[in-house]
Amino acid sequence: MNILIVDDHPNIARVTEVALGLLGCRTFTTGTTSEALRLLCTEKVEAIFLDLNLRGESGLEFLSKLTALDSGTPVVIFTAKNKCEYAEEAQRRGAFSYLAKPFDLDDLRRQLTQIEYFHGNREGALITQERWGSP
Amino acid sequence: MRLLRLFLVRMSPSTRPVALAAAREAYPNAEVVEVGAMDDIGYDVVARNPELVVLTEPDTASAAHAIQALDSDGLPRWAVVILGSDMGEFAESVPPEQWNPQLLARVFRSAVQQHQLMCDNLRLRGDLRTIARRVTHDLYTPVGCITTSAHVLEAVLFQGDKESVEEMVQNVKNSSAEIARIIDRVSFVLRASADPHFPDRIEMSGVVAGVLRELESDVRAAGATVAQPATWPEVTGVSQWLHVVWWNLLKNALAHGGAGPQLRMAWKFENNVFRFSVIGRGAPIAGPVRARFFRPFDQLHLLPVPGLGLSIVQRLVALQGGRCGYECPDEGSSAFYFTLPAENARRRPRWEGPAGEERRATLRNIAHVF
Repeated sequence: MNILIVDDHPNIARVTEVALGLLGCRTFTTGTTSEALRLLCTEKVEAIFLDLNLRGESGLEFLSKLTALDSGTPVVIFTAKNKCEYAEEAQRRGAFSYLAKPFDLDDLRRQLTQIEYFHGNREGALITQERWGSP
Repeated sequence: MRLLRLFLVRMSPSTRPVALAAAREAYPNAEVVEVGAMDDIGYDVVARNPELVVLTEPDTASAAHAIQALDSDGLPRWAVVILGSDMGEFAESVPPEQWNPQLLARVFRSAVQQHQLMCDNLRLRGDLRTIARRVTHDLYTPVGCITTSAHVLEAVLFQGDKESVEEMVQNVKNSSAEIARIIDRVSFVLRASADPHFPDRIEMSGVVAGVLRELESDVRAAGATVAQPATWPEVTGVSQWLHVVWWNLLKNALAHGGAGPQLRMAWKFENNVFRFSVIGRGAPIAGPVRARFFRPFDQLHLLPVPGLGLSIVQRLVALQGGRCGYECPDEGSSAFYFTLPAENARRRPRWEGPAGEERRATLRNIAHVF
């Protein structure tokens, strides 16, 4: 699976790359939303892992932009465990799911399973409750 | 005694002599300004002197204006004393038959002390919120990175992937260093805010030389040039705070100045105020981004401002009676500046809280309350 990671924290970005690589994913990584848009145009991306605390355009603003583009690419947002209110706001803006930091390989694996399921079952609505049901 | 600016608003002929006598008794060195209405009070962006507004029989709008006014840091701008009107829940009122210079002088002093304590309280609560929300979040990121790196490390060790092992170990080291940096910076600014520091006479040249020595490798790595004026003034301030202020401004300019930034450090003296700046080449920064510069540390929980550096600068400069800002001297350059009042000599920092006579008076008040 091809994943675009949008996170301007280099250490987090790198550990996510390696972790997704271990789970068989190919990753593209950037710290800016403009570069993310460029990658979305040039690469086949099946999911986006987006940090909300970007230094330039905020992750939430970028998420709204992605939703407006209606690309159908699921967006998983990174959020700290004590910032779940942002996850709710992200859900309202069209995020597919959220990944609370710190995460481990099992958390990532669960996200990938849901994304695969989403791509296999475009209706997607059936799993919405499960995705957002618990942190 | 601190210099105080006292505004007497719309004093009637009968009230004026009592209020002036009370002002002279309470604050003999105060600058007394008489105005006809609240709107006549100007806004001095340079001065950080404590202020007291005394109103007589104000209408509701004037009273609300006085009570709700905020300074540029979002704190109540001045202490307010209202003579004569029954303001209900807004303020204590003193009926006219009790007005005499001695009583009003005590009221003026109490109002100023109460205002100072309220500002300190609001700032400290803001600091707590910043620590509870913003700083913990900032710490959570590297802590989370270490945790996730450990999980990944476990997996890559099992696979014998040496390159990934080295990367994850480096990740742990970087994240640990990031945690230490955050703790050091936050600890510094909190200690500066909590512990009294009396300003000394300082040669700014010595402070600048120390900062440039510390940043030598950063300057070289960025391919930057840093020009200095031929001379630096002697100022009144706290040396280690000024060191941190310059360090952050230069570090910021090096980080965001593009490739091979050409930086210029400058100073001037105008209207009894020193103004120091770091000027870089580049297009002016857009308004929304600019608005996030120098947010007070105690308000960092309210807005997603990246980085702590400029907020730390704002606090340290405010503690020395100055202000910070961003400006575009011309189309092709940007300047981050801070000011220091020349008359700051031996003046207590604003946030230090009551001291000496005032502190004893406050303790008496507290003892009386309890």
